[in-house]
Amino acid sequence: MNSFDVPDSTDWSRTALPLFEPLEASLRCEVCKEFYVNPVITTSCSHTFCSICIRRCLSTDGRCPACKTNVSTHQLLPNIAVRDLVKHFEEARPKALDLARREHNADQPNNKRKLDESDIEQNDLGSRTRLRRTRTRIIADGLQRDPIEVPDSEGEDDGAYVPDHLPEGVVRCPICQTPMKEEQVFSHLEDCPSEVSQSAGNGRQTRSTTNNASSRSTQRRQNEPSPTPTRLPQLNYHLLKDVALKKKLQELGIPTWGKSQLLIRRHTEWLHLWNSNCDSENPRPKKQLLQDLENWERTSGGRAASTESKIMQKDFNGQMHASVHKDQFSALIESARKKREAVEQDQTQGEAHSTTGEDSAEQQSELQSKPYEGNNEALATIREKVAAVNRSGSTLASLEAGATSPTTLARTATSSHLNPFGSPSKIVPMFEMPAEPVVDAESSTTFQ
Amino acid sequence: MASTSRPNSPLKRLLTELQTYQSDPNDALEELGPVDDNEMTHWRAVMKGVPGTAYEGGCWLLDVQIPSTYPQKPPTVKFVTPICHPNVDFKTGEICLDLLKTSWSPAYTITATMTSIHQLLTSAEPDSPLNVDIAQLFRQGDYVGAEALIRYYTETERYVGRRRY
Repeated sequence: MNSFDVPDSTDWSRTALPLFEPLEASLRCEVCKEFYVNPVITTSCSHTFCSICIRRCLSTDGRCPACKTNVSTHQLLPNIAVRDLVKHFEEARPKALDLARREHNADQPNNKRKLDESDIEQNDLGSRTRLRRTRTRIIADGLQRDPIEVPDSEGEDDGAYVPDHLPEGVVRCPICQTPMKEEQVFSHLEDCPSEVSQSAGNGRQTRSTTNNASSRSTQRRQNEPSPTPTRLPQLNYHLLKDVALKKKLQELGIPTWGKSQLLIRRHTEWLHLWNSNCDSENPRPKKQLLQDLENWERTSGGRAASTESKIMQKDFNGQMHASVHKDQFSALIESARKKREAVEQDQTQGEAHSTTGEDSAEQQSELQSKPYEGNNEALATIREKVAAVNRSGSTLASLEAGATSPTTLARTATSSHLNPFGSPSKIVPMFEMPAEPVVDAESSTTFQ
Repeated sequence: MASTSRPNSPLKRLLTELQTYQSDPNDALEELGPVDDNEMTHWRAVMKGVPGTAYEGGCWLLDVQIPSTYPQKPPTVKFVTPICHPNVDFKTGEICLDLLKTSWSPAYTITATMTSIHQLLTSAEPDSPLNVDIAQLFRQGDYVGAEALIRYYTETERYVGRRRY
């Protein structure tokens, strides 16, 4: 397929089950485009998002990303049905996708041959082949609705359920599934070896999973006796002084370094992490949340590359820096001096060059403030532009003469003259050939 | 599954979007993707003109810068190939579209944004112009002149970077 492989709803589009694409798309969050993680529903507009996604959105925007209704965080409730749907779909997905792809590949190359064969088959051969064929066809396009006879071949599987028909008065232990007399159950429960529960002949899938889950959750509860986390309230940062805010962060057990702006951002992110964890089925321990906060710090928090790099740090040793880079500084000064001399020469030439009023004044003032000091290339382009303006009168005239509708073009020409920018580059692109205006636009914006 | 952590970086989502685009391309676009494999937050797009309008047959290169806060914040989209449109600056390529500013929603994707820009080509707003010249023509009702001018630029300012027709 592709060089990278990200699971995505369009994976289904070229398989035997294209109708699974919208199904999977509806199990993915609108914001992160991933399967829902701790899905919550907004009770004001009934849209579902991942808990963390909607919380982040609400703190930047305050509106539902799908319909722009105003939503606040206390209107979010866990959407348990969606959570289970996603969980089971994700479990079933790899195998289903694999089957659907194989089915598709098997169908694709010898489609025609199969059709020919089937014509004969329907008349001549027994019901077994016909059954198989209908089944593949049904899978191939979910729209076709032939009457299907369900083959009753899976008799062996049913056998697994037979032990449920226990003799009267005998029941199964709810934990370890061992059959025993009804009276014995309670005494057995006292010392039921639930950890080693699974007997070999035990076939009930659903029961054994719930069994596992319950034993796991009891284990977990024993390991870390933390109460179920409660949601943290939002703070009104405007009413808090730096010291009070730092204290709050300290109480929560998260880092307190940085400026107040960073503290606020960190606190907000912590609220997102913490509160979305509260929406989870199995809340994660605080240690993992702190790890997430640390990740946030590196990607978009205080340790992110872009922020704070432009401002000199307080404890920055200027002298040290100067002595270390002395050679480079002096070299730069040297080259700047040389270029300046060159510029002064150019300036005298440039003044001689300029003829028309407004544009030349603009040029001159720019040169006097010396924004292009030492930049010969920039000066060269400016000089070209001046020359172009001097020539532009003739270009305009020729174009107007050659145009089919002179009135409209003339109007545009005048309106472009009246343009507040008033620079030559604004006039030239209207009538010159491509590429030129782009260059002009870039150079003029860069050097202004 | 319920306990997986969710990265805050836009990279994962951009990768998903790219995959979705590759298996389900956008009709309005010729191509869409990162400029460079190492820089996932800088994309380029090549947009096709709208048949039956003055932008028919056009082809424009667009530059898409994706902020590190994406999708909470919108991407910055600019026309690199000049386009004659009331809501697009002719020189800088800046686009005046509410979707790219105030009414952005994290539910939008890059492809969806491109579709909106494509729709902007046919539904211009001359009352909030970035290109005063063409907007003036629209406002004065000179549709013939405006269309002629647009056709002229659509023809001359064509992006021919990768493929020529």
